[in-house]
Amino acid sequence: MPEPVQHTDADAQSGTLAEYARQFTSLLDRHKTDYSGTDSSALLFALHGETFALPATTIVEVLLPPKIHSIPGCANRLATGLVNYRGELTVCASLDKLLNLRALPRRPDAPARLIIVVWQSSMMGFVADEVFGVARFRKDSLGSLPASINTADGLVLGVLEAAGRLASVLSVDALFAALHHPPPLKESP
Amino acid sequence: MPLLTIERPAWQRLKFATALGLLSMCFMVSVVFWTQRVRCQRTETAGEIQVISGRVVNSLLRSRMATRDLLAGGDPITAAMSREEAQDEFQREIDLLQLRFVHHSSLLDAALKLRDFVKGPLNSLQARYFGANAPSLIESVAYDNLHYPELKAQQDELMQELAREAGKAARAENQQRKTAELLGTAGFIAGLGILLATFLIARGAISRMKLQSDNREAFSTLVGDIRKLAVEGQAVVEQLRASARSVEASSAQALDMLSTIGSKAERITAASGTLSKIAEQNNLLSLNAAIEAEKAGEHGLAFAVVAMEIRRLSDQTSELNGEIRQTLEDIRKPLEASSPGLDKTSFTALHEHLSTAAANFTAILAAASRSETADRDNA
Repeated sequence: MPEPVQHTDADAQSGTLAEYARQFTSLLDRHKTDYSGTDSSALLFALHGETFALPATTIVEVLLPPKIHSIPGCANRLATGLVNYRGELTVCASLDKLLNLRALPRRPDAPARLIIVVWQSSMMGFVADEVFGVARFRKDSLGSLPASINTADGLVLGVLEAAGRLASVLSVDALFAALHHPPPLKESP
Repeated sequence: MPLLTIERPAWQRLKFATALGLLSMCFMVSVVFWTQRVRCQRTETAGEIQVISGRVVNSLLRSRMATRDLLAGGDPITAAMSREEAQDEFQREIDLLQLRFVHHSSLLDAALKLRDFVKGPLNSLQARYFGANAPSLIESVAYDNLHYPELKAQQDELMQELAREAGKAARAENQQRKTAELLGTAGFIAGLGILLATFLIARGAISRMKLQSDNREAFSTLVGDIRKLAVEGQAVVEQLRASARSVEASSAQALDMLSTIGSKAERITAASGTLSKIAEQNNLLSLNAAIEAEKAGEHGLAFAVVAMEIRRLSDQTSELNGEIRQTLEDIRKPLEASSPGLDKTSFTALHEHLSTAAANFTAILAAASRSETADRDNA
């Protein structure tokens, strides 16, 4: 492994650090994003071909999927197992079962990720097929769901259009509530 | 086994034609000589028959003239001598006829009949003339006047018969001469035909031998070309062997280099895997940084930009890593494809093929030598 470059005062005097600062400033200017008028942000991720979003403030960390340990005798059908998140056992939920998504084959090049979510000092994790990034939006700009979709359980807050995708913004408290009190199994249409 | 054999019958045919030609020429010469001889003999015999017959008649006529002189009162002694000479000549000629022309029986019969007549009544008559003394001659003449014309007529008739038989014999001789000439001509023509046939046979045999000679020359040329090509082929095989050895040495070096390149590519692949993991970690880092920046609110805006740039770097790294992997794959495939063609077993097989080719050329040379030897023996 190459040794990291150590910058010194001599470098600053010689102009190397000044040059670095100038380049980085121009870089920031080039990718400057207008965040004015936004009040929320969400993490976009894909699951079974659908794009979903979760508020960024509820996301603890995005990780590579670790080994998921099964829970013997677990009656909760939404809990797929336990993961070791930085020394703490965390329940791993099956979001696709909760959202009643139709199982689709994953893209082979799609990098799976484990998303750790926190709500009221309670954490849970779920595996997403792919994570796209963070998107900012206004809460009142969320699109409403079609009337044909049943939103009685309150899992989906609305529809967000970001980065060329239409994402369903999920409600974290509804997710945790469903995890603690799983809804009855729905028949697939 | 020679590739081409020369036929023996052509030479035997030429010998046969030569012998036949010599025989026919001898036959023709013999026929010519025989014909000429027979023609001369028959011509001569015919002439002799005429001449001797003429002498016989002439001697009788001279004898008769002597008798007539005596009767006419001539000198009896002279007449008697003249008649005696004529009688002797007549006898000699008759003997000659008997001696020479035995095969002409009718001629001999006529001659003997004439001789018997002359020695018979006529002789006794004339003997009385010339044997008697002069006083009694008158009486004899009277007697003869009575019988002589009759005897004379008989004698004339016998002489004419002799002359006819002599003519017949001469014509028979001439006929035999003509027959001999005809046979000789026919024999000569037949000999000429045989000679012509012999010439044709000999010419055919010579043409055939010439053709065979040409074929042998073509065969020799062909064998020479084959020998030359085989020698050139051996030289080419030797060159190929030398080239194969050189290529084998170069290939061994190339194989080592390919092996080195392969091991380096393996290490690059391993490094690429590490790079991929780093890129993935960077991606996660950028995601988490972006999340933390969002949690920080207004204070985390700059950090969000940094997270975005880190993510872009991660994406570029992943893209570059993909290109590296693809390039490595593009390098690995030709290496794997070319390595089997450069291994030692391939060159061993090549050397075996070249040895087989050299052995084949040697066998071709040996076969060409055997063919030439057999052709010489055959010729």
